[in-house]
Amino acid sequence: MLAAIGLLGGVLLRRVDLVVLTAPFLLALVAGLAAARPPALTVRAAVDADRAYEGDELTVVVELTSARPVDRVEVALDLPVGLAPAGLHPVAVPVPTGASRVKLALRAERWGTYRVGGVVARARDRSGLFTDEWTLPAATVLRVHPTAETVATLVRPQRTGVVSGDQVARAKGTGIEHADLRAYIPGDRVQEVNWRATARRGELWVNERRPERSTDVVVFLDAFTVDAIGPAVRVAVSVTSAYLARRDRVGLVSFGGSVSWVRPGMGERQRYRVTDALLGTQAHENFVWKGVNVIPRGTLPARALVIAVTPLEDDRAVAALFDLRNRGIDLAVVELAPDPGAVAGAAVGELGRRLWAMHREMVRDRYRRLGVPVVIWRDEGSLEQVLEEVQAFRRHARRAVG
Amino acid sequence: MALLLGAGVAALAVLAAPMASRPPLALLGAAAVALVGAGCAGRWMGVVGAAAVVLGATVVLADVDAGTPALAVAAGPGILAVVELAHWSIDLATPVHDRPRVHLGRWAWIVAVVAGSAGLGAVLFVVSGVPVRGGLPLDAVAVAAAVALVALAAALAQRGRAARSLGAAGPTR
Repeated sequence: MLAAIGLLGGVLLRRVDLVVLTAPFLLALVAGLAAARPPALTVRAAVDADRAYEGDELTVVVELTSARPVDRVEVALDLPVGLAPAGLHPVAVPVPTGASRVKLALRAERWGTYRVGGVVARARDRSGLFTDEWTLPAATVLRVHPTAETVATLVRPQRTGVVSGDQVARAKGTGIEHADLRAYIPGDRVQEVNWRATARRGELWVNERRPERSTDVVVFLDAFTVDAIGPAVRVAVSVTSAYLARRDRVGLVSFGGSVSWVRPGMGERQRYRVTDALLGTQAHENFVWKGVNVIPRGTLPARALVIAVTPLEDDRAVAALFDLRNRGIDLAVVELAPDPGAVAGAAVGELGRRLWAMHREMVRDRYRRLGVPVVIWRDEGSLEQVLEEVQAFRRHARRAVG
Repeated sequence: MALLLGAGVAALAVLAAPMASRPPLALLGAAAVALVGAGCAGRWMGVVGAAAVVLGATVVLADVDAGTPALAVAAGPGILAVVELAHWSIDLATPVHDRPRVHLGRWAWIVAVVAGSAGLGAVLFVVSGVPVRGGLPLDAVAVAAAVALVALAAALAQRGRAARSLGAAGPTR
């Protein structure tokens, strides 16, 4: 516009210098407009993996196909919260005729299920007069697994199953672990004779052993509290991985606004099944009262050890766990400590906080009186230590009962 | 680079003017350079445009004082180069990592446009020296030519927009 005014002004005022000054701008404008042609660009994107762990870096290969060369195409990934670009991002590349590829890295920062592969490509013509933009919607599903803490010490279940496993059963039978000595009775195998005891006592004594059996473990995830979902899933993944590595059968019950479950199973496939269910766990607002009767019978075997991961904040989850215990289920509770900052920042007075703390302590005490260990896990703490405490409580409780 | 070039154009205008006119022209030139700097730093293309107008005014005033339009032939492409470089500088301020060879096309474009405009300016300067008697009809032709040029630019802009809206599915603007 200024160039047009300058040109007309120059002509009308008979000033050659005005015309000479404005002519370059008009020339640039006309040349730019005449040379500008819409770029015929096709954008495709592919992600090199559909599963990753937190902290992993993945590569998105963006393929740009153009019918004519484009000087500069800006390529940016459209990433959801939880994924972040790694390295140079966005990038600008020249696109020659044909196909060219741009590799962009992204980092999985938080576990979850994401849609990735969304790309925004922006091409500007040489003169900078026109900008064209392509938006490629995200189409690839990426599952980011939480990093599982390696746990060596696990809670020993009170009852074992009938399938062979790594867990030493309380019952005696054929196995490796030495259990006791007893006098020989006809029919005992000769290999079981304990010759040292026999020599000492002057009559035949045989070894008794405990068999190694698998156990059923069900992780009960309290999904009522939004803030606790993240840490709860971390704990659940660690516990699941550890038990499955010991060839136990592991199941999952996600108990919240919506209830979902995975029946107990073993092996690597089960690990993926449980992890996928955990990744899909979300806290849905729901005020309908529900109990354990909404959980299918086969999901909670009678001999299973149930490890509940809960912040003990929702009465429905607390009541469901009491119900499970009253039905004779072997139960251990890993309590997710509430964020102290959130509690301190809440609009309650000191008295309110003390009442809240007393209420929680009362709930814990009720569980403990039923023989259920309740151990607090803090986000930065070691899960192994928590499970050690659970195990110690159960040993102590057995001695106290015995 | 835009700043240096702007300072160069301003200095050229100041040096071409008579001694008495230099201080106000120097002030005007400095203001133009400051505007270019502010536009680049603040990523305001409008401020760069204002700087171009102030630089142009400096050149025109210097021409008036010097009594010759020769300065505009060199200053016109110079101001265009300042604007293009400032525009590029603003583009580079966005957090986009340019891969190698991505700037070649833009460099080529700037060099071509500046060279072309320098040539055009020279032709206009030479033509303006030719004594032509035409009076009002010639003035009318000149105005019509200027209007036609502006209309051509508008038509081309319209065509470019239409071509994009009719283009293959995918691009959105």
